[in-house]
Amino acid sequence: MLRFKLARQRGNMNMFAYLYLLPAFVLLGIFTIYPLINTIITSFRLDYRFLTGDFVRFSAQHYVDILRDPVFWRACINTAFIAFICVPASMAAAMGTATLLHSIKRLKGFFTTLYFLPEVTNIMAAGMVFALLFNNNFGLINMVLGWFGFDPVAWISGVGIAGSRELYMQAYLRCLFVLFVYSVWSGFSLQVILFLGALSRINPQYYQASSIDGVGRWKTFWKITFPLLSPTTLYVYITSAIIAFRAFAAIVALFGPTYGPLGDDSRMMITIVGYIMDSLGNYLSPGAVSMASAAAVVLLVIIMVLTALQMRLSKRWVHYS
Amino acid sequence: MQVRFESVTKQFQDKRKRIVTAVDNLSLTIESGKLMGFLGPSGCGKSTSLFIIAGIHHLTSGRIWFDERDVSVLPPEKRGVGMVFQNYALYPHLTVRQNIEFPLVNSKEIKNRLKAELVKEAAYGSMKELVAARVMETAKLVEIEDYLDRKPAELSGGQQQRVAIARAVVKRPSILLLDEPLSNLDARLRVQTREEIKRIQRKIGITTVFVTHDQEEALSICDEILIMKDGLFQQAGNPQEIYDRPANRFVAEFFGGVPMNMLQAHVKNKTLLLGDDELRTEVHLPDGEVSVGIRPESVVPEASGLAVTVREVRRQGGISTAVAELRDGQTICFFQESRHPVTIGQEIKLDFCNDGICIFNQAGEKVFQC
Ligand SMILES: Nc1ncnc2c1ncn2[C@@H]1O[C@H](COP(=O)(O)OP(=O)(O)OP(=O)(O)O)[C@@H](O)[C@H]1O
Ligand SMILES: [Mg+2]
Repeated sequence: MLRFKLARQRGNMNMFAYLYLLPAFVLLGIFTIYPLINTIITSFRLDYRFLTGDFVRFSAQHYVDILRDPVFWRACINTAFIAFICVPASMAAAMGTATLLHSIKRLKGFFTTLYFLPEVTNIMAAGMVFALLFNNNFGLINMVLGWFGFDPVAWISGVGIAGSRELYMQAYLRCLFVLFVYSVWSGFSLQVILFLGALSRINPQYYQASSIDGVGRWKTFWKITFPLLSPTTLYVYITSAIIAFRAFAAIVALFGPTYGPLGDDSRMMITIVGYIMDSLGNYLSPGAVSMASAAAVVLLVIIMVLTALQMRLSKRWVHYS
Repeated sequence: MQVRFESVTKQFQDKRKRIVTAVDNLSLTIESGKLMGFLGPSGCGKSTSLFIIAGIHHLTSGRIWFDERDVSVLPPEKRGVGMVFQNYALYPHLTVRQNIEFPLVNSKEIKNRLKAELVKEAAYGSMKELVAARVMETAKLVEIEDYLDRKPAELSGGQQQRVAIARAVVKRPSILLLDEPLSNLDARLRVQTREEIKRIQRKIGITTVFVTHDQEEALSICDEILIMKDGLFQQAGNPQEIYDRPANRFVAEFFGGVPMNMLQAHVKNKTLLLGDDELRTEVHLPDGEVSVGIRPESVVPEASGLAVTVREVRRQGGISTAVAELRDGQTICFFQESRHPVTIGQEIKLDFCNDGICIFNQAGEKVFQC
């Protein structure tokens, strides 16, 4: 009798739990699940017209189109550059900085605030400031270079590159460099904070033990700190990489609405989200929205595959205490 | 190796910039090969004293000597000490084997020492073999050779504790420091493990300092004990000696399973009086108020003596204690014999063993024992 009652109570509890979760489910359904499914369906509609809603038939043609489009590949490469080069670099810098910050006693709070500043800065504004820093004529970087006797570098410039593959590559590398510096800077702050938090949760006795054992600082970092930070490292990487995959506003702020420096017409610095945005911008022409959807689906698949891969790999080297 | 504290003081600055004196002008000698216990209530500076030996804390003033060598400013890695931390501090991401070999493979100093040994002892072909042999030997010493490939989280508290000891002794230190190594264990394991520590310590004959706040633990395994309070030295010496002849009221009350009886009494004409009753004559003290400390086991019911009324009888396992009320209302606790049980309300007479009465002045110093 009692068990029956308990069971019934438990059943009621579950029902209440679902009831309370209902608003979240509804919101999730409306704003995440439905658009997701709709995007997938749209991506398979040939020559879909956004305004009237009609299309020729279901087909994978738009996937073939984007995979044949060199601009899409450029977008993939640039996105990969941010996710696989810039994010790890900024994480390494953040981990090193956090470790140093953690070891100092004075001015810790001051530096922590300083490093947190980029986090509360608007992306567009920060991007524009970076564009100014790297400005060819009056940028701070060129000014400093000038002090040391170097010639100014046209950081963000594609003037005269048309027709020359070599000049194009040089301009591209310079732009990648600017993007690299910006990405490292913008991701850095939050990562420092997260690593600082993780460091403060490591039992200081591990360090006392290793100092009694005469283990040097460098070894101690690699053998103790680094493995103990691994759950945070994984978390930071996954979240930062997902943010990186969606990079768009920063690119526009740095390189302008054509995703490239003046003189370039190849959308040199475009990202996948940029590509999607451009296609959506053409929504009046038949198939443009389908193409945007196809690109979005490709991005989704890439993110899902990579996340699964990371989770699997992480089992081997991430230590959860 | 002998360890000597010479007027050692250690001060910290807390968050509000106030100065905290954790160890205050401590002088002490720990003889070579002995097991020394640091005992005292929480926050009295036991761990700090231990960390001072290890070199983790720098001294505010004073000196530390290892035999004839002044090590006061020597960094930890140069001191050759092994340490077991309050909650072991085993590296959670490494296996037991990796934990034990950690100092051997990661410290330059120890590696160099091992290299020299490798040349001398032809038995081992390579560094790897030597390290493996060392780890095995140490694991056998503490009886954990079956768990070498487990992670610390997969071990019981007692096993973890032995791994921590193994990690501390594998590098053959000349001093072993243990910071409350038993505080995380249950009562039975605690007794078992402390015997284990004693066994290991005897076997390798290493000078050992053992921090605890459990006086029974100290009493049962230590050769010598230091009792501290608020960073100040209280008494040091053989545990039984400290028990029998406490230097002051704090030590008397702190040290002992059943607390010492503390009674208000006074001295008049070289006679110790409890109310109107005479306890002792020939007490060479000036007249005045004193505190009298008497251990429960020094109180014996006799045919003649101090007249009291039994108020309470308590049985705790095999031990049975009784509380009796004196004529002036103070109470006194004693062990009752099973052959002559007392009952509540009974009027009896109590006598006191020779040397069983400690007399403390108002400042808490012991001034006389009789
Ligand atoms: N790093 C530190 N900064 C400031 N004060 C400290 C520091 N370490 C210890 N103290 C203070 O010094 C005093 C002695 O501390 P210690 O850790 O030696 O006590 P303990 O006897 O080991 O106590 P427990 O039995 O609780 O471990 C305490 O009052 C403590 O607050
Ligand atoms: Mg302590």
